[in-house]
Amino acid sequence: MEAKINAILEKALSAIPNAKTKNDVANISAEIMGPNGELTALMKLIPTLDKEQKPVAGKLINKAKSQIEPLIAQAYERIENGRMAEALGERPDITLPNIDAPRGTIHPLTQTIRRICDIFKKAGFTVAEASDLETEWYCFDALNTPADHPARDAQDTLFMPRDAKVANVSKHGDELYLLRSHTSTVQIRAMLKEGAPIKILSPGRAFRRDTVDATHSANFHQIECLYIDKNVRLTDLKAALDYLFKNLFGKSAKTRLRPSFFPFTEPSFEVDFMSSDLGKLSNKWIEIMGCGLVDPNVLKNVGIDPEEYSGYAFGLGVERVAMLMHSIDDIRHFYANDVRFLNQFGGK
Amino acid sequence: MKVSLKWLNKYVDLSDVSVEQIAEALPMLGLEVENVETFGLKQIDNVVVGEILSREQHPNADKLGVCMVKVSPDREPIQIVCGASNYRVGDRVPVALSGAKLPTPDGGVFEIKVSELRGVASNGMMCSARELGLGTDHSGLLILEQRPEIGTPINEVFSDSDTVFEIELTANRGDALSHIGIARELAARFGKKLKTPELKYAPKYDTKPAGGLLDAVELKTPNCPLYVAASIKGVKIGPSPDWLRRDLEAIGLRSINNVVDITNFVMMEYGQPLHAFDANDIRGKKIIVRQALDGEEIQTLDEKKHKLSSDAMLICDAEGAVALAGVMGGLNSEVKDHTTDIVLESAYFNPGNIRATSRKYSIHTDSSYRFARDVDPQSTLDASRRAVDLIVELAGGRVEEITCKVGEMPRGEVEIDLSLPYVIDRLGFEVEKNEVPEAMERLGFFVKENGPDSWKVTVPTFRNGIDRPIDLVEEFVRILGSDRIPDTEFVTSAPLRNDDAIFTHNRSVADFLASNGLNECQNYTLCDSAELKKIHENVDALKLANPLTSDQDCLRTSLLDGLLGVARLNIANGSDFKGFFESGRVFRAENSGEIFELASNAFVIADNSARREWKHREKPDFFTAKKYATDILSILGVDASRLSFSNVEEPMWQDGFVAAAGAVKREGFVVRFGAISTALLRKMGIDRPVYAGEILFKPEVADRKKGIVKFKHFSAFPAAVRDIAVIAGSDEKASEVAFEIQKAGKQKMKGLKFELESVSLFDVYEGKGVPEGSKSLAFALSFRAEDRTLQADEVSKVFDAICEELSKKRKLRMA
Repeated sequence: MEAKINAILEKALSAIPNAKTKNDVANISAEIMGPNGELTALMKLIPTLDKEQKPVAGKLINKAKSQIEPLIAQAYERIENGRMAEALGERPDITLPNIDAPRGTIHPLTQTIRRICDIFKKAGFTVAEASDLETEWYCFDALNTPADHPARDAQDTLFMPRDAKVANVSKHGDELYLLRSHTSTVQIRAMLKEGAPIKILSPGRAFRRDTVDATHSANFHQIECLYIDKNVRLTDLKAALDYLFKNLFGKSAKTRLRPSFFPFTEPSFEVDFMSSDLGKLSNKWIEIMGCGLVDPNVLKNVGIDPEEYSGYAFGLGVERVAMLMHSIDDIRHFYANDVRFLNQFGGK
Repeated sequence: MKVSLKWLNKYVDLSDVSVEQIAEALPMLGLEVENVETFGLKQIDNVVVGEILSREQHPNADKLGVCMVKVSPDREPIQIVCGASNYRVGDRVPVALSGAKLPTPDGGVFEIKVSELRGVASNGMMCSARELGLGTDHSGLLILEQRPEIGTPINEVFSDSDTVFEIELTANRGDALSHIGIARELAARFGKKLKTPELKYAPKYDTKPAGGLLDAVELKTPNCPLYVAASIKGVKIGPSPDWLRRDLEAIGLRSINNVVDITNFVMMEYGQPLHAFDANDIRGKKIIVRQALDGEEIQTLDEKKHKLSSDAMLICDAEGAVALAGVMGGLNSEVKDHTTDIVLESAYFNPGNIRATSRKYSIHTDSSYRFARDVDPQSTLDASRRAVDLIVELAGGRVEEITCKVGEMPRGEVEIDLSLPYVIDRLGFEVEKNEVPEAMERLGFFVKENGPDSWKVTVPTFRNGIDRPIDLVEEFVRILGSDRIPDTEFVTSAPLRNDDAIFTHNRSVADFLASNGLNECQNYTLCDSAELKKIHENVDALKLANPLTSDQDCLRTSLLDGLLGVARLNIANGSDFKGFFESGRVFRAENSGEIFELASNAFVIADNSARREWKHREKPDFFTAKKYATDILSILGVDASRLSFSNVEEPMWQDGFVAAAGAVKREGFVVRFGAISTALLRKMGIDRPVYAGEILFKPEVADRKKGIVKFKHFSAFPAAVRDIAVIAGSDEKASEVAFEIQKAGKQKMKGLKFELESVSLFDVYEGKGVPEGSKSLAFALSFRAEDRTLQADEVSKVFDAICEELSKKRKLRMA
């Protein structure tokens, strides 16, 4: 009996690991443990044995069974794993390149806008948008720029015909539509709608009647920043500018305010900044944008009491920042959209 | 505007201020410096004329001499070692004494020190022309042939040196368009005294001219509120003296004759343009200032003829125009060589009128530039007196005691209340109390105490646009210096406002499309209406009233035009890409003729990635475009599965390969996606299919309330799925067939305790086994009960019923 059991066991040990298919395993399993299996046949003999031999034979058979059963389970698992692994196909050369298109890119101007908005978001500034099409009042009058001001000259601003009707850009009076020459228009619309205090950034397109060259573009992007609250002072403006430029151009960046003139701020300044991380332009004052305390007349024009509220505003040229940051030498690259340009600004 | 340093020194003593200090100070005063140019010898201290008394050979060097040089009439000669060989004993040469700082060619300085050269003491340096910064001659010492006195500072020998600053002014600084104006600023900045010229001529003013050169001056336009005419007889026109010629030439003006030069000089001195008429050319002895008649002509000094309209202002005599007021004199009345009697005009013209005329007729002169920026009405009188003084001095003649003055000063002094707490409140930092009145006075303003910490500040007429306390704060910061603004902490607060939804939306769309391999683009808003017409036959673009060029004469109506151009460019370059997208504003007319400014998200897919094909991948197709378009809609909050898409016939799109939905006015958005027309692509030079999509929407749609999702319970039991294939016509829409199945399902499941949870298409087949002109659409019907596992027979029963219902209308193809 014992010899027979050992023979069965030996056969199982050699056949089961070599089984190729689930069918093979089932056949072997049946041959040994099925109703007509060899081991089953031996079990059927047990009642015929001597009283002393019965328990011995029973133990031996059970032991053999407990050795064979896991082998069968393992065989099934091995075969099923193999089948699934086949679906993976051949082992790849892991150094082959990707087949699908690589991740696309976000335009460097968009990235610069996001970067600046993210920097200021931490400080409680949120984005406000308004239309590209504007009217004279929002673009000039409300911003304290009277009708005979040089900035309003038709030579610099793109106007729409007098009969143009725009359904979803509101007029203030009988005035011409135009393409906004700066994003300061958003200040006006936001203050009229939301009042004070207000703390916004307005990224968007602005338009000038300029001949296109390496530094001029028929449209460009600006980010206008406006903060109106009680007791906003010149020191707050300086602190905001330092915060911005340190975050944009590194800890070494510093700013300088140079007196200037804009109709919508008083006092007005040009901002120069200097950084040690700008290659050839390092450690030189670079003119970057205009800023100032919001002129009380502007606040009056949008119904905010200048005795109670004050604030600052500045307008940053997005192209200019992006050109400095990435050492881009020609503004036209931004609008040509050559993928050899765009792909350099992957990530983000 | 060019300003000469030598000239400035007439009004403010800048001898102890370096050119560099001035060049740094001006921008910080708000006067931008475009260029600084130094002519002749720069100011160099400790360089004097010396005479070489003797020369001995250097004991240790063949090429060096040891000279004794007398550098002062009353000091012992000093010993200098020199390597030059072009001099003789007795020559006078420039000697740089110890402490002298000589300019080096690279812009630095070289300081002279007492030293030893090969063991012999040398107490200075004899200089070549180049070592002084006078040109490039370095062949030997600069021999001073004219033998100036020993000890004379070298700048006195080369005294015609000068530095010219080119200054760019902001629109509010008309007061600084003159040498006195700039001198006033520098005097304020460096704490010096401003000296204005002493005026000798003290006329009596009368509205009626005297002396016989003129009988009347009449002002017939509000654009000229003040006009002054002085009469001078018996002048002798001739060349200007050297100093006058030099001053004008230094700032780039040409000397013409003494009288014209004087008017130019005084303009550059006071900022008040003047005009000298030959009195004999003033017909009828009358000056009339009036607006031009429509179509009236004038020939200006530059010999150009201009046809005017009534917005231009003229100076006329009894018969016609003699000058385009404030802009340029007429050719018929200029001062000539034989002129003896002159009428000198000084006037105030309204800035806006002069600016408009100058722009309209493209005549930009020193005069119009100043009038357009508002000259000081007081200088209208002062400059006239100054010019009279100079004419009498330099050209002879007698001035009439009475000067004709018509009209009044258009603006006077302004008094403003200012307090220290207000100033500190605007600045945000402390300043000393006395700093405020001091700065005001340095600017030439008058300050009176007005209670504790308060003043009344009077702003003279030379400054326009300063009429509020905040304007004085600006002036104060200018003079105080913005470097006094301390670094403070960035105090932040959060006003609990969110980014505008359109910004967030565009950000999500860009991230989504970039993640799918597309590159974001920025294209111009302005485009060429002729090109636009080729792509969008039926779309009305908004045309500009004043385009700069014809290729940028209207606003884009779609972002796709630009993106197709980008695809073409990158295909032509052989670049590898999948597609492009852009978010931006477009402008299009609805049927009513009203223009809408719409936000747009658009993309094109023109897979140009042949080089990545080492393993086959499906090319993008219509459904790639559909996926992107519907996903963007979903980001916008529009459920695309509820939209009914239909074909549109538009020249941009390939017929039958385009889907459209939405309406701007009713739904706030409109969407198109599909294949771009092959005809258009070929016209553009693109040789492969391009799929595209554009979602146009009113910006506020991005802000629609999306509502909070309420959780719906789902069954824990498995679904029972049955497949059905329906034969439909080739042109029939799958969505309609699916709708029929759903309808049949609804009908047959009435009263049952489970539901048909979805009908989803999984196969479309045309070919063997399906009749010609038809297709087979296979759907999976998924049934599920809330509370139990469905029994096969209850599912089969209802499925059969649905099939039976469908088969009344359609052929079914059983799998």
